Order: sequence, then C-alpha cells, then structure tokens
Amino acid sequence: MSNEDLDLVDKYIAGTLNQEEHALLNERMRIDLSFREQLETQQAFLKSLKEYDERKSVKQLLNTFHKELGTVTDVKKESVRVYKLWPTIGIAASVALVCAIGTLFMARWFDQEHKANYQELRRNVERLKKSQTQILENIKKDKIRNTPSKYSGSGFMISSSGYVVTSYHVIKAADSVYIENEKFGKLKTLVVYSNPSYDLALLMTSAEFKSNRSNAFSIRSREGDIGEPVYTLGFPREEIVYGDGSISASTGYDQDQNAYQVSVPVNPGNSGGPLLDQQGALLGIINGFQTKTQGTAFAIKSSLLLETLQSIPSDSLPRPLKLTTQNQLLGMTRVDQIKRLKDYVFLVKVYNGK
Amino acid sequence: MYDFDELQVTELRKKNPAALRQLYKAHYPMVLNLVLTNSGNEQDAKDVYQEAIIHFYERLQQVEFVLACKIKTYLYAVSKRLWLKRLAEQKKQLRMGDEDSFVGIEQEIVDLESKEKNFHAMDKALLTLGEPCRTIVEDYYLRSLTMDDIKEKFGYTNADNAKNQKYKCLQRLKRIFFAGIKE
Repeated sequence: MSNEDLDLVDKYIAGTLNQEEHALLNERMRIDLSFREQLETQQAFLKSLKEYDERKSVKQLLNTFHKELGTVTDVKKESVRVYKLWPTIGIAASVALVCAIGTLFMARWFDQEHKANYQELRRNVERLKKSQTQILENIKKDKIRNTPSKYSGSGFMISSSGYVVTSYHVIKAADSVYIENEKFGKLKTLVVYSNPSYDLALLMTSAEFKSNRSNAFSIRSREGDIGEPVYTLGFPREEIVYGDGSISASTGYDQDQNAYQVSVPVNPGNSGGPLLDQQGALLGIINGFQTKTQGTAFAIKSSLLLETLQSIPSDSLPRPLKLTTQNQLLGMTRVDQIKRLKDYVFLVKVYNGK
Repeated sequence: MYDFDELQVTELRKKNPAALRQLYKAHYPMVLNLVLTNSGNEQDAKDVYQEAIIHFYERLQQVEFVLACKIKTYLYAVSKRLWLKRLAEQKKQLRMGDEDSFVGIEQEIVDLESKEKNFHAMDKALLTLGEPCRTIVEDYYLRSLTMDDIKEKFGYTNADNAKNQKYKCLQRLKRIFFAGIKE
C-alpha cells in the first residue's frame, strides 16, 4: 500500500472522509479485492494497537491498586506485633464485640429488607405468569381465526441445490408456497418434508436451482451458551430486517428443551428466519415470541434441524441435499457476513384457496 | 440480578477508576488464597488475578457482553482456570473440581488468551521497532497528533518528510506484529 493510500485508509477508518470520497472508496473496495484486504488488515491492526494502549494503562492502574494492598508477609508481621500489645487488645476486643453485635443487628435488618424485595419480585412473576397464559390463549384463538388467504414468514437456504428451511406453522395448510428475495426474485417451491413436532419444514424450488456459491448456511451442532451474542435476518415486512441480541435462556417457552429464549426484537413474519451466532453459523430457527414481554423470542435449536434433515429418507428427496459443513464466514465482520447471507434468506409467501 | 453487582458493572462500564479499585481489592484475597493453597506464590496470584480482572473489564466495555453469574464467580472461575493451566504447563497435577464455574467459561478463556497473545505481540513489536518510530506511531495513531505537530516535535524540515517517516515506521511495525502473531 502506498503512502497516499494509507492516508486515505486512515481517514476512512477514522471516519473523516467526505461523502464523495467515501463513495469512491467503497466503489474501489468493491472492485479491488486486494485493496479491500489491505484496508481490513489496517483496521485490525489499529484495533489491536488501541487495545494494547488501553490495556497498558489499565495494567498500570492495577499495579498501583496492588501496591495499596500490601503483601501477605506484612500481615504476618502485624500479627506478631499484636502479642506485644496485650493491654490494647482488651480495648480492641470490646470494640470488636460491639461491631459484631452491631453487624448482627444490621444483617437482620438487611435480611428483612431483602424479604420485602423478594416478595415483590414474586408478585411480578405471578403477574408475568398470568400474562403468559393469556398470550397462550390468544395464540389458540388466533389459530382458529387463522384463515386468511395469504400470509408470510421467513426461510433460508441450506443447500446450493435449492433447499430452503422454514417453520412448519408458516406453511401448514398451504396450497402453494413461493419464496422471494432481492437476488433470486420469486420462486415457486414444493414442501418436501415437514416436522410439526419441531415446527420445521423443508422446501425445495420447483425449478432446477443452482447458486454460484457453494455455501449457503452452515448449521452449528454445538449448543449455544447463555449470553452468547446472536442475530437474525428475516422478513417481518417486504424488506429484509436485521435484529440482534443474545441467548437469554437455554429453554424456550414453558421450559421447552427444544428451543432457546433469545432477546432479539422479532415480529410476525420473522418465523422461520435464521438465528445466527457470531461466526454467522446457524444456531436456531425463530419460531415464536411473547407478545407482552418486549424483546423475548424463541428459536428452535439447530441440532433439531440436523436431526430432522438426517431422518429424511434420501429417496423422498428429488435432488441431493448437500449441507455445508465448513463455515465460510469465519473471521468476517458481521456486516460482511450479512452481505453474503442476505441473498440466501427468503420471504416465504403462502397462498391457500380457502 | 444482584443489586450490588449491577451497580458495580454500570460503574465499570463507565470506566470509573474508583470502581475498578474497589473491584480489584474486593476479590484479590480470594484468588490469593486459591493460588497460595495450590502450590503458588504471591507473584503467581497477582499475575493470574490481574489477567482475569483485565479480561473482565475489557469484556464489560463490549455492549453485547452479558454477565450471567456473580462477579465473584466469574473472577474466581477464570482465575482458577488460568492457574490450572499454568500448573499443567509446569507438569504439576492438581486435585481441584470444576464446581463454582459458569456457562461459557471455555469461550471466555479462549478469548482471554488470544487477547493476551495480541497484547504481548504488540508489546514486543513496539520494543523491537525502537525510537523514534515508536513515539511517532503512538503520537499519530493513539494521541491524535497531526503531522505538523510531529514535524515540530521531532524537528523534521517539513510535514511530508515526517509523513514518509511515519509511513515507513508503521509498515515495519505491522510486519513485526503480524509475524509475532503467527508464531
């Protein structure tokens, strides 16, 4: 990289380019891959340099704190000295006694305080429980009313030969199912397999499908951890929408072992959309949310998808279903992951004659 | 989750040095005891503890990081893992169970070690780079000095010369740093 380029890149990273220069640079990155790589290297390097600098000052801070602590040997010396100070010990002991009794009283007082808090908390839980049952009832009612001629969800491609995964509840009672996105337009699909107990369905494009890129979504078999950052892509409206959050619980609604609870903002239409981990690998399939509690969604675990796919007899698959085993997105930033993944997320449109 | 922890986390996220001091002092005896009773000395305890604290502190600066256990549990579990690893490197076996840990500790340790590696690689690279290169790079990229400031400070005849020097220094530093990472 030349000195001029370095200047440009530094300004880009610092965010001080004007709009025109910025657009120009973006265009150049699109065409010139090696330039883009150099820019990313510089970005990573400056990040490491900044982290180094911050960490160094934190270390200094910690060392000063450490000096204030004194050492264990100091403590021992003091305890030896205490022997020579018998008379003072009497006074010290009485002070200690008063302190101890005082603490006891204080502790009891705190205890009572906490009890009050605890009860209040439990009442909140009771209220939550009530609202949850209400939601469940609402869901049940919805099911009965659910006869519009057209509704939609999300889906994502798991094989370059045109297989798409979505939620079973999105496509059930469908006469015809179409998938649609910006890259591939509208494609007719067939429901190849469905698993109502896991709320999963496998679609396949009716026409022969060939994507130029061999990878679609790679499925992660390892279970997600609580607190792990995750994100989703889906179609709550006609446009692809990104949402992020983290895994909040390793079970879903009503202790469902097959699902995660995630703190990702979702809306109707997100059902069937992919839940992705930091490396862009598939961790789950969004399938529901709690209406009253904001930002609480549920996702079926990816291991169940693997299990379902493996249980499909191969002669019931019109075309070979090849899964991506290698995650091609390792080490990419989330923005770049999304750029690649968004072409393989679809709006699933369902029509029925009723 | 725990009121006091929550307060502390909020303050640490704001990079409040007083909160960091409090945190540091509050849990050191616990780790010191752990290391001393398991064939280590004070210096070992200090090293392990500081690594754990720094990692925790840096993790808190990441918005997406959610603390899923008590601070005490976190620091204890991370310190313990680190100490076990040190002992294993010295071929010393230990009988310590894996209780009082938390979910996701494996990933936490992996992250910590890669950060630590980065830090040492950068430290070494900056040392190898030498002066005045080191100060020029630090002034420009960390202290946000302009090329003119640097020209003045180091007595270059014009800003272009200073800029050329900075360019060469940076390229060299990057080369050393990335080579160090690969090792």
